[in-house]
Amino acid sequence: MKTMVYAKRNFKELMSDPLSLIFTIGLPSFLLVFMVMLNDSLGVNDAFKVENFVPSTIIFSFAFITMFSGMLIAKDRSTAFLMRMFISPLKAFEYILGYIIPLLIMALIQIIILYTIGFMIGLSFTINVLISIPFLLLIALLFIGIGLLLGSLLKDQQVGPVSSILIQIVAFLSGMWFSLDLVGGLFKQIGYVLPFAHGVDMIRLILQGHYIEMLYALWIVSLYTLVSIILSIIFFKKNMKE
Amino acid sequence: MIAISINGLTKKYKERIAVDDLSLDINEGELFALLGFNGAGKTTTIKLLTGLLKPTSGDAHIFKKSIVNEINDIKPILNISPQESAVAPNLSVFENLVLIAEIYGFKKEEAINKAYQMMEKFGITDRKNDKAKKLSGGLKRRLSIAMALITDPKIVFLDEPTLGLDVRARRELWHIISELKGKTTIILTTHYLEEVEALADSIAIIDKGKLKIKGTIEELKTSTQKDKLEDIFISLTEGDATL
Repeated sequence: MKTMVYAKRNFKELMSDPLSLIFTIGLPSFLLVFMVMLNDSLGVNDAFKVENFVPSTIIFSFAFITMFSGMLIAKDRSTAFLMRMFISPLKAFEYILGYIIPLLIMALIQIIILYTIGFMIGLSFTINVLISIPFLLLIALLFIGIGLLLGSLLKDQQVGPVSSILIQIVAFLSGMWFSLDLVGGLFKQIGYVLPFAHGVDMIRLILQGHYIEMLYALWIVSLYTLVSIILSIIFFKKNMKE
Repeated sequence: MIAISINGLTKKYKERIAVDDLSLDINEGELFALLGFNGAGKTTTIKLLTGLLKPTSGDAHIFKKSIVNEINDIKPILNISPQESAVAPNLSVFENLVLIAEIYGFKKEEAINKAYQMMEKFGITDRKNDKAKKLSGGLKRRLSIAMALITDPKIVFLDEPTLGLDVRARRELWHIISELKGKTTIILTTHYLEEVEALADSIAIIDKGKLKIKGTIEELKTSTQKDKLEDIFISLTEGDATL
C-alpha cells in the first residue's frame, strides 16, 4: 500500500514533465512511422521493415526511461525530499519498488502505443505480439535498473549527458538502424557483448514464433537485467545510509 | 517520562568527530532546543536519532527503543522538517500533504481531512492546487513543516524551521509550535536565540560535537552567572566556532 502511494507520486513526477512524454513516446512514434514509410517507398533496409523496426523502436524508447528515471532519482537525492522519505516508515525495498512500478507502467504504455502504431502501418496482429509483452517488460526492467543505478551514482546534471550516451549506444549497437551482421567485425562484437542487440533479436524472434532460437538472447538479457537491478539496489541502499 | 535518552552517542568520520560522546535525556512533551554554531553537530545528531546515520558508538533510546537495533519500530512516531524544505516539487500542496499522511499509514479519507486541517493551520489553503515548486521559499518551508506535523508525530525534529520565514510567518509558527508543547516532544535547532527564549523548555548547547551545557534557561543562567542566553551561548562556544 505504502509502496503504491510512493509509486503514484513518482508516476506523477514523471508524467508532469512534458519532455519525458515527448521523448519516451513522441520521438519513438515519429521514428517508427517515418522510417517504416520511408522504407516502404524506397526499400532502404530490412531493419526498417515494420516487423523488425517495431521491436527495435520499443527497446529504443526504453532508453529514455533510463534517462528520466535516473534524473528523477538524482534530483530527489539532491533535495531534502528523499531525506524525509528515508526517515519515514518506508523500507528500502518499498522505495525501490516505488520507483520500478511506475516506470514499468510507463514502459507498458510505450509498448501498447508503439504496437498500436505498428498495427496501423502494417504489423500483423498475432498471438506472438501478446507473448512478446512480458519479455519486453523484462528488457524495460534492464533499462530501469540502469536508470536507478545512474540516479544513485550521479548528480542530476550528470544523468542527462550519460543517458544520452546510452541512447546512442542503443541506437547504433542494437541493430535498430542496420543489421549488425552487415557491419560485422569489432562493431558487431561490441554490439553482442552488450545486451541491447540481444534484446532486439529476442523480440524479433518471438514475433516470428522462434521460441527456441530466442533462448540464448533471453539468457543474456536476463543476466544483464539481474546485474543491473542488484547493483542499483546496492547503490540505492548505500545512498540511504549516507 | 523520558522520550529520548542519549547515551555516549558518537559519530566519527575519517578525520573528524561530528558527535562526540553525547549523553542527555529529553522529556516527553517538552520543547528541547539544540544550539550550536554551524558544523557543531546538531544536524548530525538529528540524523543519528532519526536513523539516517548509524552511530560509530553509543546508542539512544526513543521511548525505550534503540535507534541502533529497533529503528523501524521508532520511525512511525517520528517526523522531521529538515533544514532545507523537503517537498515533492511537481506535486501540489495538497498532494504533498496527502502523500506524507498516506506513507505514514493514514487511510486516504483521513489523509485528505488532515491535509485540509494542515493547510488551514498554515495559511496555505488558497495555494492548495499549486505545485510545490511554484511556491516562494517561505511558503515551501511552511508546507515542509506542515508535512512534518500532519502525521501527528510523538517526536518531531524541526531543523531551523523559521529560516526564510518573514516576521509574521515566524510568529505564527511559534504559535503552532507552542500549541504542540505537552503533546509532542519537539527537538528544535535554530540560530535565533529569541526563538529559544520564547519557546524552549530545555536547552542544550553543543560545540564540536560535545555537550557543553544542558538545562532550563534559568538553570543555564545560574550555572554560568550570565543574564542573557546570547552571552551564555557565546561564552561556551567562544573561539571554537566554525562559521
